[in-house]
Amino acid sequence: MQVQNIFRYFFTLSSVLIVLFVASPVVAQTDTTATEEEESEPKAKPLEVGHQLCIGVDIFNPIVNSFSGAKSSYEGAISYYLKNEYYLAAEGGMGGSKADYDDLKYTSNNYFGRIGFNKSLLTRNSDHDWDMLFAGMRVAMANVKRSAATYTITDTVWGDQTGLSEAKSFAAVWAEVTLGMRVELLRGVMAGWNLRAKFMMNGRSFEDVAPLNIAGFGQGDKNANFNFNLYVCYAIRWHK
Amino acid sequence: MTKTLKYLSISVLFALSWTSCTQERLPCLTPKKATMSIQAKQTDGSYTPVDTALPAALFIAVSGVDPTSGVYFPNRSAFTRSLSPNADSCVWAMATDTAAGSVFDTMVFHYERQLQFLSNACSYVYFYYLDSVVTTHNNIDSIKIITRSVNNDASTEHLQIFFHP
Repeated sequence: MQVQNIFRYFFTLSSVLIVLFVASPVVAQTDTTATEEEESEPKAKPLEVGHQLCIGVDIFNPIVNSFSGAKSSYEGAISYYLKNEYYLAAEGGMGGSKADYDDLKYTSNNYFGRIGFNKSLLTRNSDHDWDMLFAGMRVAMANVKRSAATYTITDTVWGDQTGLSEAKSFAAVWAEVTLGMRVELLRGVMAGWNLRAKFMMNGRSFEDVAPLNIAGFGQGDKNANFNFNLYVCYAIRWHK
Repeated sequence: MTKTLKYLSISVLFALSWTSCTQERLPCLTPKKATMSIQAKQTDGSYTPVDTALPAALFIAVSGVDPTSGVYFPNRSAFTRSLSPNADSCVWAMATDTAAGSVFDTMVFHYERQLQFLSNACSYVYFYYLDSVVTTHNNIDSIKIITRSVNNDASTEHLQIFFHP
C-alpha cells in the first residue's frame, strides 16, 4: 500500500512536470505568432546558444557537516540546456546521520536522487552568456536505512526505562521548488547557489523514529525543510 | 568579474548565515509527560457531585522508586499523577487529610502502554489507555474514568474520585 502511494505521488508530480515542459513551448509559440501579426517591426536575429551540459558538486554541505559530526551529505548535479531557457536538472547523492543523545541513539544513511527542471529568469546578453538566475522544480526520492534505535524514558517517580526500536528501511518522496543562480568564473567553470524549499509527500512513513537527517531533504521529522547548496560546476558546450 | 565577485560574496554570506542558524539538536517544545488529571468530588445532600478541595492530600507511588516519600497537595481539588512506564499497572496510595491523620486508600491502575515517538528533539514517551482502577474504600466512595486515553494533552480530565461525605 505504501509503495503504491509513493508511486502515485511520483507519477502525479512527474505528470505535472511533463505538462509544464510540453505546455511552455506551445505558449511561447502562440505568443510569437500573435506578436508577428500585430507588429511588423524587424526582429533581432535570435541567439544561437547551442548546447550546454554542466556537471557539478555541492561544496556547502560537506564543509558545514564536517563541523557537526552528526550528519553527512554529499551530492552532485547535472543540468542540460534544452531550449527556451529551460534546463533539465538531475541531482543525486548520499549521506547519513547519527543521533547520539542521552535519551536516543541510532544511525541512518540514505541515497537520493532528484529530477526536474530550471527556468532561467534572465535575458541573455550574448551567445556566450550562460550566467543565470533561475527557478525550478524537482521530484526526489530517497531510500533510508535506520539502525535499531536505543531510547531511554526518564521518570523520577517510577524509574527510567530503556528500550530498543528495531531497525527499519523506508522510502522518502518529496517535491522541491528551488531558486538559484550560476555565474561563470572562468571559461567553463561556473559557481552558484540553490535555495530549496522541500515538501515531504509521504511523511507518514516516519511515524516511528524519523531520521535526524535525510541527505538531500534535511530533518526527517519535519514535513517541510529549507536549505542551501553551493555548487561548483564544469560546463561542456557545443554547437550542432 | 566585479559583478561575479559580488554574486559570489552574496552566496558566501548566504551560506554563513544559514550555517549560523542551524542547531545541532532543537529543544523539545512538546510536553513529554503523560499525566492523569484527577478531580476530587463529593456528593452533597442532594446527591449531586461537586468539586471538593482536600485539606492536605498526600499521594505516594507505592510501586515507584521511593515508596517512602510522597507528593503533598494542600487544599486542592484537582491533581495530576503519572502512570508507570515500566509495567501495565501501578499503585498509588492517597490520604485526603494527613494533618488530621486520615487513613490511606490504595488505588491500583491497570492500563495498556503505547510507545510513542515524538521527535528527535523529544525522543520517545509512553502514552496509556486506562482499563480499570481498583480502590479501597476508607475515604474513597468510587472512581469514575472520564477519559481512557492518557497522553501529553494536559487539558483532558481523566478521573473523578468521589469521597464519602
